[in-house]
Amino acid sequence: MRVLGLAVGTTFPVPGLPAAADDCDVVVERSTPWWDPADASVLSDVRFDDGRPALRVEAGPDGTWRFWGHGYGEAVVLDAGARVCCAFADGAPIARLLVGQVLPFLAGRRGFEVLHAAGVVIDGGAVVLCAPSGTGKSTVLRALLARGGVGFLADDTVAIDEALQAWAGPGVIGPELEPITPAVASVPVRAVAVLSRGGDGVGLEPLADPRALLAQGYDALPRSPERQIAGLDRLSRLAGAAELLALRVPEGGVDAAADALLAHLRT
Amino acid sequence: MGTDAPQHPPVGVTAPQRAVRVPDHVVHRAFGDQTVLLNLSTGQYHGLNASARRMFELLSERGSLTGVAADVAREYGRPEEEIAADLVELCAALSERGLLELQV
Repeated sequence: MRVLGLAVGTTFPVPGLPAAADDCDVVVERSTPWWDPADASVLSDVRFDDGRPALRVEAGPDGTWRFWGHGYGEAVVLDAGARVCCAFADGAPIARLLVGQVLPFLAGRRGFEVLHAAGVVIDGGAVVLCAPSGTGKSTVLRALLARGGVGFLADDTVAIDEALQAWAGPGVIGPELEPITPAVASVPVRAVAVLSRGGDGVGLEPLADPRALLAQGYDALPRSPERQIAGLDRLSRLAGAAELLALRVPEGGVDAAADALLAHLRT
Repeated sequence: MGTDAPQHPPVGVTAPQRAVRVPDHVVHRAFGDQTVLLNLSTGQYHGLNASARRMFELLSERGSLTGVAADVAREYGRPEEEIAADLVELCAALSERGLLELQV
């Protein structure tokens, strides 16, 4: 089972990720990674409001990277992305770091356009639900999954390949990292809905401003100009192949929003 | 863009023979009937609606303002003076954001 288009396997239990096999592109193992901060440059340094470090990403020599998250642990990417060594305290949710940062980064390096999005499968096509954190992607996702004929694709990240297929993200959902198996590994994208909160009623209309979609690209790290152009190109082609929608979800209107989206897609 | 243009365009934008150029750090792609411009220097995206998109296409093809307002006015069935004013605003807005060079 591919994850974000990558054949990922782990040598220790990680919710939602398969065990390592011979044909893996990326093997994730638990081992103390070697890392020399003197040789590294900082790519991203996210802080809590009080100034303490929250997330740090560094690039080392020869195509190596280190991801460190407060309370999560660290993951060092070696062998040009083929191996990830994780160090973390027992019980620390290292899966969050892998799922939220490391795998999207590796998928992006392999040419996928990764969106911060949930995804479902409806009538053989992917419906991608884009929204910034806290907008209610997972809530709408759960509401859709509770309805008949809707399959799970992804909770937090979806990778779009050159052929505009959506690849399932890691199969974990909710803060408890409840494992869930994607309905398929990949499926053509039929619609993208950009979610927003507020208003008096459910709003479902064509997406007026495509920049709302572009804003959902996985951009935790700086992109080269070539990657920026490739991302713009991929999403432009996606806009020509799939329906782009804006879905406004009012307070207490998650079920109504899910019903409206399903009714529209099944009309 | 086209709705958030500055109120006072720079002096000289209006000269119809004025040469223009899309800088190398700007790439653009269609999104339905709109266009998104990406400024690689800033990483910022900028949107153009359908009529602004058409003006931008003609500007980048011709490298000048010559005849752009007249052609767009004909295509959209609107008075040329109206389109010319929109074109001036668009050029000023694009130039201000580093998306178009107005050449001397």
